[in-house]
Amino acid sequence: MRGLQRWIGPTVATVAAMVSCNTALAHVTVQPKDAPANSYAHLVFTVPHGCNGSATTALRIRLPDGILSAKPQMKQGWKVDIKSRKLDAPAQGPHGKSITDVVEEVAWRGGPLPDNLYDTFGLIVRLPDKAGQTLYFPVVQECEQGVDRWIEIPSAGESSDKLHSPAPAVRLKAKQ
Amino acid sequence: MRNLARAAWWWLLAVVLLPSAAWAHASLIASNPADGVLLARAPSTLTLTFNEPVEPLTIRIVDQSGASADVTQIRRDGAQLVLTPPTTLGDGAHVISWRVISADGHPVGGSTTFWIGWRGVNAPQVVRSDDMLLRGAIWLVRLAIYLGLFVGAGGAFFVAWMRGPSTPAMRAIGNVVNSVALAALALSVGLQGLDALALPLSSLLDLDVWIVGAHGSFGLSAAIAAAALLLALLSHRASGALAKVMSLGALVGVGLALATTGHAATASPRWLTTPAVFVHGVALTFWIGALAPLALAMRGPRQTTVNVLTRFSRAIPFAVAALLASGLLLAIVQLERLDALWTTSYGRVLAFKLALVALLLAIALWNRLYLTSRIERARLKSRRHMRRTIVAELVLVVGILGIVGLWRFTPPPRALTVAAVPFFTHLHTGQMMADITVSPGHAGPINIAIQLRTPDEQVLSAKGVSVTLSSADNGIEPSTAEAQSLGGGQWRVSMAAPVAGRWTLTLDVLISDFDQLHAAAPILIN
Repeated sequence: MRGLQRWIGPTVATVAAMVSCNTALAHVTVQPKDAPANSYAHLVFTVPHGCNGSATTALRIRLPDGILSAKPQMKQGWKVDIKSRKLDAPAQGPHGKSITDVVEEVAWRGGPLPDNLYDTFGLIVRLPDKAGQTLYFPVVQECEQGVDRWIEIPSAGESSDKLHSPAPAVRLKAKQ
Repeated sequence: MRNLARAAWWWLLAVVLLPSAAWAHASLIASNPADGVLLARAPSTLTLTFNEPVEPLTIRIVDQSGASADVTQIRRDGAQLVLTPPTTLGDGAHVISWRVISADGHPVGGSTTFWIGWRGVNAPQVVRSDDMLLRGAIWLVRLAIYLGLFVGAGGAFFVAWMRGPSTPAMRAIGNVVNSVALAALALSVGLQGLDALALPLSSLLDLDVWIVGAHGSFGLSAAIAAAALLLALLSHRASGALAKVMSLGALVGVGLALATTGHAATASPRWLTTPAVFVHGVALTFWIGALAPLALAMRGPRQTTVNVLTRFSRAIPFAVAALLASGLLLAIVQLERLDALWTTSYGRVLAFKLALVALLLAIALWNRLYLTSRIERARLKSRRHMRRTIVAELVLVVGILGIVGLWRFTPPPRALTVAAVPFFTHLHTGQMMADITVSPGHAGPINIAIQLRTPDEQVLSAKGVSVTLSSADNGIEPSTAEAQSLGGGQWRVSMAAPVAGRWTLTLDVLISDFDQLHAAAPILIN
């Protein structure tokens, strides 16, 4: 019994590692995959490889509509650019503040991040109160040679598994 | 808790130990033969180079008839797959359709097309290389061939049939233009090969270049032209009936050589255009061929001059009428509409040629109506006059032939719009509309023209358009190319659909850095 118990851990871990390696890490992805609506979330974007073997020099993320505040992570060796846009009509912020400008695009430039290493890029956002919806964060990965665009959004009823370069997505679930 | 911590460590270890290349989908970096190339001979092995080592799933070679053969002899060499085709590949198109598993366990597919011997059926001969030196050489060689055919073979015919003066000067002219043209003809095969393979002049010594050049209608035309030039050379050395037969053969040969290849002779309907080019060529050869012997006759005895002139004057109206009628017919077929005469480079070449031809006709008319009657009335000075105007005509002819040689580099409007019946389809999604024209609509190299609009009929501006073609029916995996913008929402790309049947065309339209529209439509290739 003890012998069996000793093996459960490694087995589960190896399977988990293989599953996590398989499809998810072939793409630029976001964690967590679902988060409570109408709350703050710490999103982590993983860049698992370069563009066709070339080192990554920039990661640009466009934020979906409905995100009223966003704060990118500071990273050693990367310069952060925050691009804002004016809202058509001022929106009510979470603390009763009126908001006129929202972050449209966040970009980390620098590196270069070699193809054989990975890195993560953090973003704290306030998610909108739209439980059940999926938010897409299209990502442009710029490299020393070439660009990979993780911007494909599945059409209604289509699974994103079939897409070649799907945009990272977060599903909003009801707040507990 | 301790178990959990240990599991976490194992997880980390496993992640680190899994092959480091396992993080990306494999993608094809290069292939040999490269996509779209034309080869002279069948390659014994094919290579696919990926960005990481891959495991082949299915790799097949599909030829233009749709027959597919699985490749079973596959050697792995690092990130390369070296394939040995199951049989020797024949002429025409071949698609390598591959499906492999990348190290991350994802199957990835793609295809690449190459051609052996020739590219497509009756693909219009449009210069592919931008090499000015090569273009200049092609033009000069063509001019030399024209002069040999028209002045040389035409001159031999005139001497034999219209009893033109068979003087040493005439024979010398014939020998020179015919010999130069024969050499130019040989060289033209190599230049044609260089052009087809898109190689520079420095590769002229490569045997493959000559094999490709001699392929198809161009090689056949060159062989007929060479025979015509040889007959013309020999007819100068013969006399009487033999010379007549030989020079007639040369004249017919010129017409056949011209009618075998080129834009005009291969335009549709061919039952009309091929004979028209033949008639145009024969009439032209008769006229131009007469000029040198006539100029020389002006120096001979007066009675001979008058006799030759009379015979020529009787025959030439028929030749000119045939020339103009066939020329008009070909111009209508090639241009399709009048404004193409100044809006296309083909039309501008034609307009310039017509202007010079009008000048030539005016001089000829002056000779015929004014000078000829004066010579008949024995005015001494008029013969010198006539000789000068004929030499002027010859100079003008060289100019016209030089301009005609430029057509080698300008596809006619007809070929630009339709080489055959194009395939048209309209795509409509919630965010865009696309008019897609695939021409020609039959198997081979194809041009895809795309007009993008928004659903409310406005021009849809895009940053980039990539087009993917695949044919599940033919077992051909997708192949993708980037289209080029022509402005105004118009995009164009050249690809290959070498097998007839149902294909799927997929459009990925990049609207901004982060927005992409996607649509797919079935395409029928005959």
